[in-house]
Amino acid sequence: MKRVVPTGKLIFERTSFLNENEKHLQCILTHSFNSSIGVFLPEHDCVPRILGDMMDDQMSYYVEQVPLNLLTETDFIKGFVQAGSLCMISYGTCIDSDDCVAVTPEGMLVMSLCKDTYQRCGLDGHLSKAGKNIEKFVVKVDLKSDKFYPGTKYYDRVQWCLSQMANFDFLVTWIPNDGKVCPSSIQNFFKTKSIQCNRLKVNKTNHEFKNFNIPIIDPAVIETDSEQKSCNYDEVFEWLGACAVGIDDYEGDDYLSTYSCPTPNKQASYCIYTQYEGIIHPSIVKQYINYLRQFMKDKKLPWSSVTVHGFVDSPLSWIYDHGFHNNGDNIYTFLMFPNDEYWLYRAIGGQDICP
Amino acid sequence: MYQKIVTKGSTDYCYLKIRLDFGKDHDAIIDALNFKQLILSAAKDVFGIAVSCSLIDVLRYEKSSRTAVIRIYHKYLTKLWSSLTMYGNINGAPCAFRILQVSSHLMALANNSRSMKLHMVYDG
Amino acid sequence: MAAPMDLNIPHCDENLLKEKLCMSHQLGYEVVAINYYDPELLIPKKQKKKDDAHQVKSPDKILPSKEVLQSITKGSRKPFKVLSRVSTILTEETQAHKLISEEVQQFDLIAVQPTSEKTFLQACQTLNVDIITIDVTEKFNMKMRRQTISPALERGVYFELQYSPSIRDSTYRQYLIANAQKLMFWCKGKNVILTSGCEKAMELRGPYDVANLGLLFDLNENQAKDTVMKNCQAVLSHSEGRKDYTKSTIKVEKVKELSKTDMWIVDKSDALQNCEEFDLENNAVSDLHQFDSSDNDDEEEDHDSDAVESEPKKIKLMTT
Repeated sequence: MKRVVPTGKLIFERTSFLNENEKHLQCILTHSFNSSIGVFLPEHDCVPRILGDMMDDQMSYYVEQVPLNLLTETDFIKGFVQAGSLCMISYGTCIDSDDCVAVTPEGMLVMSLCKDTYQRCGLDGHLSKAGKNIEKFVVKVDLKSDKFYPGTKYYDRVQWCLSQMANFDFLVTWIPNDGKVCPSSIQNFFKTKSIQCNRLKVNKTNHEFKNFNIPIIDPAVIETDSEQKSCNYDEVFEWLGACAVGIDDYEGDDYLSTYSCPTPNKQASYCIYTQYEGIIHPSIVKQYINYLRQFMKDKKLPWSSVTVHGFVDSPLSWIYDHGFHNNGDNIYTFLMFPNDEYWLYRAIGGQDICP
Repeated sequence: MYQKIVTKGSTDYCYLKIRLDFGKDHDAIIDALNFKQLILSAAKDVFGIAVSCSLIDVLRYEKSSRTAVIRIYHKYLTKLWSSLTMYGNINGAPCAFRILQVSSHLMALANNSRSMKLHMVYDG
Repeated sequence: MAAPMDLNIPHCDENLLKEKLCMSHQLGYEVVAINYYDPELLIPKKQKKKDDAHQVKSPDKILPSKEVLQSITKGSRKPFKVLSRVSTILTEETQAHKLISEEVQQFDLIAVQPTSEKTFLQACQTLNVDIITIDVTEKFNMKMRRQTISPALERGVYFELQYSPSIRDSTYRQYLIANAQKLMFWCKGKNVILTSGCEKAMELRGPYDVANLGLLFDLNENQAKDTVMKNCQAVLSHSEGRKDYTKSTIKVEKVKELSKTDMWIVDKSDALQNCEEFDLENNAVSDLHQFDSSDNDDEEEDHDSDAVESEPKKIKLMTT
């Protein structure tokens, strides 16, 4: 058998929220297309309601058969791309076999196109860097650029090229800059163009654990030494994953599974994992993490964690091209401690570039 | 204070989410133990005991949908996966293992945006 | 577009076929070919015992009706294309002439399964087919040499391996792996497609599962995925080339008959030349072929060969 290409990579960082570079913000805000957010709280029995409220307040929509040239119309750019933070990703398209289109909150139209479509569309792009020898091309158009307006040669060309392409279904969420503007304006916009646009409900899943072993984690020690006073970083991540998947009674049968909670561990009477699915705007993640940091201190929790799953078919994973081989993972987990330190795990597919 | 570690090469483990499907005229109740035995016999059929003796952990099993999350060594991924693919019947009932997700992170199996169902709110 | 494809779904009775198509759609295949298998297709009529002429079914008869297709794809926006394919066994070199006949050529894809070294060589070197089937129900005993295979690689003919026999029977499993590894050794992992050849719907497997089988046959990750995606696309382009272009890389179509996605070419050429020399109304010849003098091996596979009819710039690209 030939050399084995990794199925995934893990990037682990240990640092603090107080670090002046504010790398955590960069990580959250550049990860534009999130399909779920999950929160794990040890020694607590419910996730603060505010997360649910935030998810309900965020309006997300499913828009059907949008012609791409609509996205470059001045109305749309002025009204939504510039006047707020827009997240838009094509739905039902697979990054490894179809054309995928997305608009980032920064106002970048990103298209990951197959060779055929790329050659026909006539826009400038580059070969996708996610994986070797894959025939996907990435075209980026900066909708917020001040040189991008009707009348310029470039604009007219883009507009014409996009009008030749097929229509796409999108998941959309939009947060206006001006608090007085209603986020549902975007729904009205599509409706006036007689495009089907329906509101999406977020899905919630809960896993509750009672009398449950949780690992002891020391923020300062990421790799255990011989004394074993705290758990290894990779074991902790696996364990968090096990909780998120909703592992059953894992210390039961030896024949079925040899998995057990990493050592050292202790028993907690209650733990909770709650996950919301939908399209989640990065700024919600940011707000929520800020809230949770304070909440954790108030409730004296030993730590808390927030996991965000990116769309597996997103054309971007952070700022890099994204692909799909066996999986299209682009996930990050913040493991936060009351002393403002945090561990950041970023899990990506084997074909992607490390952020 | 700042530390960064990037995994080199492959991770140790690989996680798979698999579902066992039967043909339309067949059905069987499979519990977690049966499920693991089926995986083992599938591996043994194609690759013999060397592969079937390697680590196969059934981390989670849902009886109603016959869906499981399993953990295996990464180096056996291709072999185990293909033996599941080639497994075609249980006591004469045609069946198929569907590999729903493959990842080297257990966390990844908590969500799959490819099979995400949309719940629409129709207002007015 | 490199969508997942299964280019061998055997033709069978209507209900079973519908079940198979449904399953392949669910598993994520976007293009499938219904295989009409006739082992006696090439045997001359004289040698047949019965007098009633052996009729080749026309592709229309084996393809499902529009209503059936709609009932399969309902509620989904994923494209689902069903093609027709004919396949047969080639035992003697002299039989090959029937492949050129109209009734065979009207199928989208043509596959042969050579049974001797001579016919294998013939299939690789000269036969105007798209797919050479490697039998996975018995050991592949023919002597392979690079010289035998390389004309096939150059001409864009693909080798097919079916995986479903190995799901049915463990002896076939041995043959599949053995034959596949032998083939991969000689063709270096190029020009191979994996298809199902399923008798029942439950024998179908998802595209990623099938690609993973490719890894078992000594392919690398990209090659393995290509066996269900890119290579199948190349087979389709090859068949298009066989049907519409014979030996050319350019075809001329009436503007009226152009598909909507190709209309941009006309827009462009209108702007360029105001349609002066391009009076399509009077152009009665719809299928005028422009022949390419140079040997057209690789170029024929090019995906957008139909997208170049009136743009001089692109034609240059093709011929160089």
